Amino acid sequence: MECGEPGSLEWHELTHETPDNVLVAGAMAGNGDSFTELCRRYYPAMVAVAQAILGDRHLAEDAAQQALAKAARNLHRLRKAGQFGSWLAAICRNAAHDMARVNRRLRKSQEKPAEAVEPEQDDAGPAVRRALDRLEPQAREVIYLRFYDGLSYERIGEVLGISEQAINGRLRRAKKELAKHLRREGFGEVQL
Amino acid sequence: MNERRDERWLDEQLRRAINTTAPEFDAERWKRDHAEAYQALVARGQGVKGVKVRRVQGVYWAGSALAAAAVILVGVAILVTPPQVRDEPVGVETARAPSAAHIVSMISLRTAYRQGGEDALYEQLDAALKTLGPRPDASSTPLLFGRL
Repeated sequence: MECGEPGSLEWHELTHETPDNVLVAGAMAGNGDSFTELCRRYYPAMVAVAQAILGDRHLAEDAAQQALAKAARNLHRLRKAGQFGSWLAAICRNAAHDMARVNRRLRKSQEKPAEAVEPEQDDAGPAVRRALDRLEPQAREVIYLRFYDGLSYERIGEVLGISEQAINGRLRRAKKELAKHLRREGFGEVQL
Repeated sequence: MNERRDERWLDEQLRRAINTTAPEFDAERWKRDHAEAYQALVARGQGVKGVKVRRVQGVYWAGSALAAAAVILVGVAILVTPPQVRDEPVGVETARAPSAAHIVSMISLRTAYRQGGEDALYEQLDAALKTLGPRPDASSTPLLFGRL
């Protein structure tokens, strides 16, 4: 790819193959297109990270967008272009935690008695969601990242700042922990 | 709960529990909703370019100043240093000359005359004669010069 000076008018030949660090350099030089391309690439992962904390898809999308805005304002503080993913994820976690605090306060003020719902015999969904909530934040995060469509191990590694091998290890431990919680819920042994 | 529960079952349950469809990023909407942040990013780029231009201008100015200073220093050094006086006698060139013919060539003789006058001219001719070897007693430099 031929690119002009970052921030200049020629700096617009961005493709899906343009490496992230080139985009980060362009964005740091004030190129808006480079930054929005980075947003497009990292947005699903950021939503997954936020959803692991908030448990709600819509709130997670709001938190991810706020995180991207904060990143745009503070991009000059990023020291290494290669750490953009993990730096952005840290901003996103903070945004999600802030949002979760506000939500807890709101829920407390508007608390209603929960409606009793008879669980369906075959539906493990509520139990799985409860088990997910009981996981350690780090374990829950890797599960959300892994089960979002289209997120490669490479992207997950960039966001978590760990190797593919470490992702697999973290994922296996998280699933074992989930299986333990599900057994307590009466779902029997899950062979992993 | 007799069905077999393995990793595939767990993965399927996780997919159902988590809304796994990857969200699409709407760049235009994000730019509208966070216009201030986006403008801050783009404006910083203009700042960077301005700083770069100023830096380049600064480098050019410093380079020009250094070049000018160097020229002045060299000029002063040339003016202050006295001209080198040649220790070598005028006829030294003749000693380096390979042959008498060269020594008495018009260029050599003219150069010698210009640098040392008539005396230098005679010295050059004497050198030529020495190169040629012994000469008859009757011949002398003025006579030879006259013949030339």
